[in-house]
Amino acid sequence: VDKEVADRSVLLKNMLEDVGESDKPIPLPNVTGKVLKKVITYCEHHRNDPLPQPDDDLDDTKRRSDDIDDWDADFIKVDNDQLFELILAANYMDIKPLLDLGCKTVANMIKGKTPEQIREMFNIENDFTPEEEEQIRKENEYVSLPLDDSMMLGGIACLLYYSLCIANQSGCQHYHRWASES
Amino acid sequence: TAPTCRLSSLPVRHHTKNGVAFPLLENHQIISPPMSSSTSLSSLPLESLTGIAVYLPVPSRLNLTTTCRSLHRIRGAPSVWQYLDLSSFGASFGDEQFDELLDDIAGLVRAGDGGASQLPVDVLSLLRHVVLDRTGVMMWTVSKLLLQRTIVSLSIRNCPNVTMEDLDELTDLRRDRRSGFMGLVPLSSAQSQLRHLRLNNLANHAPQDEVLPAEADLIDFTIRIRFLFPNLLSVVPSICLACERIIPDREMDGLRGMAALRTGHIIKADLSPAEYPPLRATFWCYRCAMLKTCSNCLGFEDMPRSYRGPLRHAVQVRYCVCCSLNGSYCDSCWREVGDPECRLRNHAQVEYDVDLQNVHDAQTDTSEDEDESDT
Repeated sequence: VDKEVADRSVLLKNMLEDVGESDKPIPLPNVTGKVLKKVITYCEHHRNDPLPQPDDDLDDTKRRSDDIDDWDADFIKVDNDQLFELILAANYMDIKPLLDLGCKTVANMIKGKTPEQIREMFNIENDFTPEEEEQIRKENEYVSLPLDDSMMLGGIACLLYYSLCIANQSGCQHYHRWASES
Repeated sequence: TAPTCRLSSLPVRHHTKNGVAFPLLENHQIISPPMSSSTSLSSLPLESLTGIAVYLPVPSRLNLTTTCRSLHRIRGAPSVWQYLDLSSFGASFGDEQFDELLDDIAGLVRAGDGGASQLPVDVLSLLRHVVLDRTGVMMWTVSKLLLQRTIVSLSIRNCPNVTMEDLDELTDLRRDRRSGFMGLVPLSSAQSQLRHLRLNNLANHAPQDEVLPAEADLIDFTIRIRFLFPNLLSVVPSICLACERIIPDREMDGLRGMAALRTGHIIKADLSPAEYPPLRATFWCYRCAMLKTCSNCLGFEDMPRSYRGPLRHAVQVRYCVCCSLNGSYCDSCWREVGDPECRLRNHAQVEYDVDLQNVHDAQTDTSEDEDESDT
């Protein structure tokens, strides 16, 4: 790949600076070929973007998970396994914009979901003992948070749809399908 | 055969620029761990998990940490609680709820620590970015956050219970180091890390017949606050320091574009405003910034500078000193700087002559005084 593309990775950039002019290949043992190909596609598309500055984290406006542009949204439409591998690769190769994109995507998937739904979505095994689960439930209850507006609206919408389904005598199947899709 | 080792297996910070050392590393074994066969959310490193958690509202963060043991460890990581967006809780979220939330987070951090430390956790000192837009918090909470030297950004847009008058009082108290405000010791301004402050549409309960309108209060406050928080990079709404007017939002894209050109961030000229890098400092409106920008190299002039041409006449130019010395052109009449025909130069000539006359008069007065004293 072009040096300009490789420079998107801080790891590679530093290594190239250290090595200087050389034709020798650089091994990346923590990244599979399939994921690396995807990473290169991302870096080629963003080759002209400004490099992230050290104090970018100081700007709180960047903490929004809904500001993903169309190309990036299309790029990150992959299965869960590949998504996590991309996050690992971005973390290892130190490509902050790609890492942020991966984190935002996962955060968007988690938002508004119950623990059970999150387990189902990411195939996570519940390894808590019943006692531990009870303890955590108490801790969460202890955090006396007021109801989030969006969650409240979502709950009202669910109830309305559920009651409509019952009224139409179409059973709960539509509701469950709709709830799992949304 | 065992794969050979390259620099990729070493921590980046330990790389050296020694070209001789690199070939010696080639025959070493790879130190980095092999890739696991399957990747799941719970197998991500803590750093990536906290990266995901900061984009989640607080209830979703708790739900994520309730799924399994490996994800439960996130709630004990202080970095997860650096960013708090409480804007979705609305006007019912007041000071009391904020204090309770801090206590609860302290409990979670302690519990996540495995109960190893029984020391009280100061959650306020963990916070870095706090968004309180549209909540019902009052000055009690805002003061506590502003007086925390570790707060980096604070957003209190559309908060109905925070007024500009209250903020004014706070800045006065902060300036006076002798007084403690509500039991909090005022910090020296140099310690504050506050970079971004957003305070659009605050309630203003000042009487209608007030001499200063609300906008003037805001302008006064935002100018003063920069001296109290010297690390501040942006205040929204932003006030131009040169012409003292609110910088309209429509000018932001122009300012960001100009800043990106100036700093060399823009390589492609056809970038859309959405692709411009974030603006670090918005202390000048577009018009004033243009007047302070060198037409040649787009360098920024913090202070108006004068250039002394070949005839040693001071000429005000819109070029930075470096470009002016290369022989640039006057923006006003498009003649080379220092040209005898340049109107600005002639104007400067008058001032220069007046100055010379003043110096001459002063010298004459001094010599006369000396003569008188001798007599």
